[in-house]
Amino acid sequence: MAVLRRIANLFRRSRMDREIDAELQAHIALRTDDNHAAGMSPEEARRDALVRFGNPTSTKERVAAADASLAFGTFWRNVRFALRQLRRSPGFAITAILALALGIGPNVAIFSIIWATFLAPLPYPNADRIVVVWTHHKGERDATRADDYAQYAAQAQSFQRLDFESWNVLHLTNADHSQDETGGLPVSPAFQTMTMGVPMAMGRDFLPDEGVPGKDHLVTLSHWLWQTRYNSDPNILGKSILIQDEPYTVIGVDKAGPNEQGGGVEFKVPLALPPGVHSEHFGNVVGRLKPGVSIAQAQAELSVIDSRLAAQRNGGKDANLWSISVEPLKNDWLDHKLERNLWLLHAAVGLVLLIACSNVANLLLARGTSRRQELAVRSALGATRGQIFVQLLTESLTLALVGGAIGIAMGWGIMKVAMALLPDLAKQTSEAVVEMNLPVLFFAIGVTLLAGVLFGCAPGWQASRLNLSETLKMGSRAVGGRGRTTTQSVLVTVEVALALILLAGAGMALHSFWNLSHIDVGFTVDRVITGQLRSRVTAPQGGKPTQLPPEQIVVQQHQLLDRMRAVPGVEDAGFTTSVPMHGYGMSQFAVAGHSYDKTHPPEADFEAVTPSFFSTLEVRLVRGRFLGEQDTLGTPLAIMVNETFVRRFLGNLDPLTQRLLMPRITAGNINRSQQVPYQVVGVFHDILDDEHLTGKAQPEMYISLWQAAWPYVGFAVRTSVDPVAVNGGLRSAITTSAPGTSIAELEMMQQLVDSKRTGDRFGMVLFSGFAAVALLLAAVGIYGVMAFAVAQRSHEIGVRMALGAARSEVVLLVVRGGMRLALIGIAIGLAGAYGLGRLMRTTLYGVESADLGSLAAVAALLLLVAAVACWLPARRSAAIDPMKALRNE
Amino acid sequence: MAKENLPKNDLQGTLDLLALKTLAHVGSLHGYGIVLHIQRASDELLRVEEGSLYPALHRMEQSGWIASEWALTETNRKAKYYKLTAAGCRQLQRSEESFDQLVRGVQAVMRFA
Repeated sequence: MAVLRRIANLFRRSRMDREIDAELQAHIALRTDDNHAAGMSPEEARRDALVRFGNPTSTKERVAAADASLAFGTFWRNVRFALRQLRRSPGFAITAILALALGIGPNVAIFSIIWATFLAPLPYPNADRIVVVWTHHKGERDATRADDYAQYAAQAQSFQRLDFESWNVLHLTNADHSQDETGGLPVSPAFQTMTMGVPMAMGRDFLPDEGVPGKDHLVTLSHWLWQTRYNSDPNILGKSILIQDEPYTVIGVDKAGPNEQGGGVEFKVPLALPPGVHSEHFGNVVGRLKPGVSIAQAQAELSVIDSRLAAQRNGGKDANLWSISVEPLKNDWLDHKLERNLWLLHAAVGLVLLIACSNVANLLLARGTSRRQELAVRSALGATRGQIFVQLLTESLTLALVGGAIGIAMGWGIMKVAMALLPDLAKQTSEAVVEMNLPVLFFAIGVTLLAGVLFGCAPGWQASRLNLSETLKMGSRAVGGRGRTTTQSVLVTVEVALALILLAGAGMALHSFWNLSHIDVGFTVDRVITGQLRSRVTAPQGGKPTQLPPEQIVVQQHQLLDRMRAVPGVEDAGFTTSVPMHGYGMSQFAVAGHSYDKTHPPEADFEAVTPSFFSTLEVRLVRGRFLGEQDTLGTPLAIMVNETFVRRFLGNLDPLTQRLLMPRITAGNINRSQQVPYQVVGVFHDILDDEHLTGKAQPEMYISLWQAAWPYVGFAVRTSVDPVAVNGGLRSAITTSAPGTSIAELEMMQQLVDSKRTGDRFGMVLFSGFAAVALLLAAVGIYGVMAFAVAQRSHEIGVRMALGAARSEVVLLVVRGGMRLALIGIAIGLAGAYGLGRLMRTTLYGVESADLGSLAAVAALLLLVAAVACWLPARRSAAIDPMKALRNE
Repeated sequence: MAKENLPKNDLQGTLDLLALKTLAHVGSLHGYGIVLHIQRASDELLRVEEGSLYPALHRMEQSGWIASEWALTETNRKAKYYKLTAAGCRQLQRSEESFDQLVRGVQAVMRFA
């Protein structure tokens, strides 16, 4: 209880001060009264009373100290003392605080992104009870069949609810019956409100009995869709909208989520899964665990159910290749490169903080040396080692807190700048908002305190080794002992090593990004627009569209293509079944005359393109000829392959004499029962069109669209003007030439390529920024230590010069000392950089883990900076007047 | 027993003991009264620096040995009056015992020498 009272006293300090005052004054007054009564004059009476009482100010302080807890009082006294000390040496204080802020700021910024991306609880009630059931095939995550989901839901006991989100995207239909880009998904009813626990902003969620054919033409809209397409119509509920050309009634609108930019799942319809009827749907299974059921229990139960289902899947073939996993709901759809970069950056900023700490520790050590006298006197006056240690630690923590406060502000700034420079990042980091919130603040304060203790122990340790009588005897001439010099040297070496590691990381990230932006993608990126053509979903009379005969498809596509090429500003245009950067359609094939292992037949990307596709994207021909207008429905089937295909599958064979066996493709049908020969007519230079732009080309086979007559195509258009200017012309060309057809997923190839590099750009920009901070800190560290060493050795330097040493020799002496430390640090750092290179290998493109170019460059840069940092104090040492230096003794 | 004869560490304890004993004897008293009583009772042998009594009083109050309240003196001045608590009585007993030991110890050494 006494402790509580003491703490309470702290807050009643001012009232207590007055009370103590009154009590002491009463004492003096009583004594004065008595003295007066004993016959003294009033002045004499008061003087005597004061003399007998002693120093009232110090008494008051001691009384107050008795009232307040001793520890607390000491702490505040130490803090006040520390602040006074810092004010007294502003140069030191500003340097140390800035170094700390530079160390802490980046940590706060990166952590705020990491928190929002990986660690923040997802914004759902009891989000830890929400799980995702993944189907795995051959160890890879795969979509789950709706049929399997129905079995899980019927049999599993572990879940309060188990829901299904289909991946079969539905599209809104425009008034002219063309398909809109806006997509939505069928989900099992009440998924959002019951399982995810997110209430609707307006209206209601689907009811369980609405997941039934006939009752399922209901829709809920995303907040974004409601705002943008329906102008936040307050009377939207009950209205009918067209989805896949069928009327659906709007019954609800979602709450606004963070980072809503459209282009995602913008509406939901109830998924109808009538029991006993096979469903074509594939998707994700999401569930909410019953209270007390662990993820492992749920997984065990579902695994048993799934192994029974797997026995029936594909006629029981490969049943052992299937498995399921129950995983907590988390943000694991993130670009892996970005994810890895984030963690690497987290480690990098940790290093920056370490550098900052050793920097400040060094400064404190240097200052501690000049404060030896003060500390020795204090300890001679009875301060215990513990008290001095605590006082020094308080000073360090005060420094850390001031630096931390500035660092938090700085981190907030870095975070804002990073998010503004890298807008794609905000999209990728999903549901949580990157912001300065409580967890981030706690992290920041934790880092700050840790830093304070880290660098605060150095001077404390130094002071505890203080040899009292020696120090007092040596007076102001006190020279650092060997131990101190060693500590400082080690710290500087560590700083240089860490800075080199960071610089090497930045160098490799830069190198990799340079490689990526100069990568030969094999086609023209600039001024190219791509998109998908969406044809009418239903025939104008209603009912399913009848498939046109191949000849008619080709004629229609020819006409459409000619119209598009005639649009002003369009240089060339072509159709393709797969727009570059949008992934692959793999197909098995055989080279005629060769036999293959049945279980592992060769596979390559298989697409159909118009001959103009090559000229539009300016793909380069290596051998033979391009697909041409002469390849038509009536001529032998022709095929082109890329260089990677030739290397991997044809070896030393002459590609132009080979025929590839594949199914006949025509008018939207793939006849797998019949293998037909395709004559290789040409080889084209690899084009990189994989989704991650890793620079590894896939083997590819292209046939002519005029021979395949495939009705579902995308397009690529190369323009002579700003691509945006031709959008309108393209749209009208398409609607007049092919009514009911619309453009979807219209994209600028340049933007698309840039967005694929978000993760790389993000890593490069931040890594470089932090490496620059590290370089600056290391430079300050070297400079500080060398300047201090020069100041300490001014006597020695004076003697040398008095004895005839030339100024250049003195400069060399100092520079040599500093550069030795820098070189050792660089050597250690190079080893660390090699390790970092191995860690970063998977995120880098075209960079070895020992990237000699980058390493040499950063080592040279660091050496240069170290040389300047040594030379500045060295020059000052040469300016020492020998007489003055000696007289100072 | 002049104060300079006592080891430094025990000076504080001795002052506590004197104040506690005074309060046990007189009952309720303000700081100035305690000073006067110690001087009178010791035949002016013990003259404490008057201000140094107050940190001791406040520390003892924080430890719960004594309690205080503001009241008027006979000369109509406001002063803070202290009185012994139950914990203070026990503490006084302990202090007296240890002080007796100290005195006996010192005396024994003095006689031996």
